[in-house]
Amino acid sequence: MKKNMTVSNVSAEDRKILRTRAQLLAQPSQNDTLEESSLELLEFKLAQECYALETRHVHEVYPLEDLTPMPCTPAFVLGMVNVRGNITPVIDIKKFFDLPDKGITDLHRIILVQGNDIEFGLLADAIVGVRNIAENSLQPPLATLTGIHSDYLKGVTKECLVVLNLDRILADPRIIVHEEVIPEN
Amino acid sequence: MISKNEEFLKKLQATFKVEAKEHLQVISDGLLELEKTPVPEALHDIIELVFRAAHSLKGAARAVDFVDIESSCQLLEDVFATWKRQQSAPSLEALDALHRDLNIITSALTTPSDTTTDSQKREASFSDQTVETISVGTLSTQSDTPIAKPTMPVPKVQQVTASEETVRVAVAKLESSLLQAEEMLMVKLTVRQRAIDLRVLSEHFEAWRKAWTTLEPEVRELRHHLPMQEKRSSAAGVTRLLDFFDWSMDYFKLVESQTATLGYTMERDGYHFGKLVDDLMEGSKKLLLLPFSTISASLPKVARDLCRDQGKEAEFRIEGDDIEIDKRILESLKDPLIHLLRNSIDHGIEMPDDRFKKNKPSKATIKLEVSQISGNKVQLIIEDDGAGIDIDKVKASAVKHGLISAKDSMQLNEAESLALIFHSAVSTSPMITQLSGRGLGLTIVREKVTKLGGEVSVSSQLGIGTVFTITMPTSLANLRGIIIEVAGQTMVVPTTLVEGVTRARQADIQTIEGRETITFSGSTLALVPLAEILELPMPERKESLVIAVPVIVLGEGDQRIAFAVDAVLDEQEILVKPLRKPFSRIRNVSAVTILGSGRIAPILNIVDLLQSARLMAKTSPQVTAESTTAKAKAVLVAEDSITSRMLLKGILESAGYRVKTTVDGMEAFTLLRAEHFDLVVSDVEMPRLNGFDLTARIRADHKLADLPVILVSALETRDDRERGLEAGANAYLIKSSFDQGNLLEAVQRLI
Repeated sequence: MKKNMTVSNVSAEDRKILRTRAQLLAQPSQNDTLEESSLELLEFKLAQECYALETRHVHEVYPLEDLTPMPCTPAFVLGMVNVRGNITPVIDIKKFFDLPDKGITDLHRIILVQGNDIEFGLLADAIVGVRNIAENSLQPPLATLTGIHSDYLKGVTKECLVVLNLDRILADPRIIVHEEVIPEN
Repeated sequence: MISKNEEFLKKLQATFKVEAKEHLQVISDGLLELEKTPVPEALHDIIELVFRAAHSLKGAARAVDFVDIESSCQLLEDVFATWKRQQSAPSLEALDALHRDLNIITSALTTPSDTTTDSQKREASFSDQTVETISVGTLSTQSDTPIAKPTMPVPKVQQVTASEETVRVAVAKLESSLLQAEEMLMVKLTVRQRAIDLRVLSEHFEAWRKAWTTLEPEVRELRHHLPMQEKRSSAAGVTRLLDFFDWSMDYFKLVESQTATLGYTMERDGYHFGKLVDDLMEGSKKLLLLPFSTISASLPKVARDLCRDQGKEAEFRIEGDDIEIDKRILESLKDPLIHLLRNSIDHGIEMPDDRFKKNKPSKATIKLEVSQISGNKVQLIIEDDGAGIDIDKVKASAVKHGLISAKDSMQLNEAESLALIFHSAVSTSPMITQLSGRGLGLTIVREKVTKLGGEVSVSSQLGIGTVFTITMPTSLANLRGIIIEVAGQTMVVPTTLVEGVTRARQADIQTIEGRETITFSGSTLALVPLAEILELPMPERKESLVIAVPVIVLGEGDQRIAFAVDAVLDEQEILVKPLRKPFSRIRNVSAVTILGSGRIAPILNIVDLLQSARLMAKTSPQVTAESTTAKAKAVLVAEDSITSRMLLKGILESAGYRVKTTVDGMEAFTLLRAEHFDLVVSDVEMPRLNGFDLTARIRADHKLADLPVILVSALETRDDRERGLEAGANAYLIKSSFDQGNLLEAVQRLI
């Protein structure tokens, strides 16, 4: 089928075939309709596990350097970093969820997230990348699988990527550090 | 989605609210003035003024679609128009009704409700009242004849001093520019830090110069012997080497002098920038100086409403309200002022009948006097001619709440007894009302005033009256802080709150009842390690404490406590950065700051520290002997990731090992040759010198050859493991399957 396909010597029949083919291609694909409810995720690694969160919460990814520890704070607060004059608390999400220490971490990045008037950096070993997935392809999380209460998760992808529900985490009163020396009863 | 038009309307409405507030203030002031029943001419002027204000407000409300406010203003305007024709002072009842109407308009302004039912309801109730008012107003003019007060001036509300040109700028904009000006402090601190760094660099040349000077005679000697062997080819190399030696001398000297010059220039620039920044901050602060009237303008109405509610009569006078004070101070002063005013009306001012019986004018006088007492200090005096404070009642209340013993209370003089009212729980009011009586108010007043660097005092004569005096700075001073080191971390203590800094030698530290104490300016104070209060790992105690421990003394009087720190580093201006969410309140930490080096340091909360120290003394039994870590084995950790480093250090320390850390193999190797260690725990992938090569070097060094090495690595292939063991590692742990059990097990097996 080595026909010379310039416009001048295409037969009427061929033209008809081409037109129907073009019309078929012009149809919106099924994937396009899914796109409307897709999630853009930032995937990151922390202590040998992969997690993801929606990019709409992410302000910036910043290298972790010059961490200053903060005395008298809960274990999930690792310290503070100076992000261009902005003092940003750094939070270890695994400690926040009381997950067991699995292996050693190589923390090199913080993911700056904000929302609900709160701003902090989430610890990460490495950033895997950004990807889009269809929202309805997420499966309900199994608490036993991740160790994180399903309330804090958006779901799990087919590849077992744990998608955090940052809205819930930001709205959780536990994330606010408020401690008096003498506890009020 | 908000359309452009709606957005514009929103902006307009925001502007309107500002304007409306001013008009309402004019009306409210005018009504208060009318109550004083001035002379007919003044009366006319005042009514004219409020009439015009109501008219302008109506027009403005129409422009931004606030229909209910517009119609309310129409009614106000009608009432004022009637008064204008009548030429007489309106009755008290009529004024009451109008004050209520103003409150309704004000609340309509502040609550952004747009539901029609709401606004209709409001309008309905409003017009009812006002219609009534008009009739009452008309009636009263016939019965009451105004008592003329000839010298009452017309209110000066709308007088504008035209001598200076002014621009209207939103306060929020000014505030953000002030904040930015304050951030410039960072520039000042950073430049100073760089100048110090350069000075240190210059000093490094000293060591080189010394080494050179000792070698120089030898070089001269060598050169002296050289000409004889000139012909030999090997001598050419030596000559070149000697020439290089001379050249490098000159070269180093040049670099040295350039570094020194750079240091001087930097220092000079530092002073220059410092001056500029100081001027900028000073100037920006002045932008936010506002006249006292910005907070006091609403007080006469507050006083009037309170009096009407309680059936009391009082005239409220303000003097000196044109004095300018920093906006942030003014804002925190408003609540204390309102509280003192409420206190005065609720507890101080008697009912008109009582006053009559006591031969006092039935109308009480409350005076608020503001005066500048020095360049940066103002004095506020709130004085009333009410019943005064009953000292016996104050004492009784204090005794009842266990503040002092009945016996002690007899010893107190008048001023001391009066000062008791600033303690929480002390109240002379037998009944808790909505306004006051809970005994908390004055405590809060004092707290707020002290926080701003001011003082509050009280004097009172039973039956004659009470005077509260507040002394305040007009602008906020820059905070200075003492930089200290605690458990290897840098922290800041506000200078003004530090009683003293001293050094305690081992001989100075006495143990009383199992607790350590030192003597500071004649009194014995408890000595507490600050690291322990801050829940940080305690620095290891040197066996022979030849060097004295740096100590900072915090607190007042017999509440003072001495805190042992690692070092007192510096004292400097600091930029306070308040805690932000998710940090809301942290024990022992009040805020944070950024130092000249760019590093963050927590600012410690002194009140918390004292409280924590007392709490700790109560809960923990005395400190036992300190010989637990005497013979601990020493472990060196080499790891470039800070978290892994901290984790490894934590695990090993909690198991009782003495741990030092380094950030790469090169640093580790240098330290190994300088100090004795029993074991090395090293990462594999590190800059400069990796774990494999570090192990190989250790094995090659004849002194270190037998030192056990544990490699902890993310590389988990068989090849990597074999490479590690080949290099001479005693154990190879993989990060992904790492836990503290297998690390400690490996360590125990090896040492």
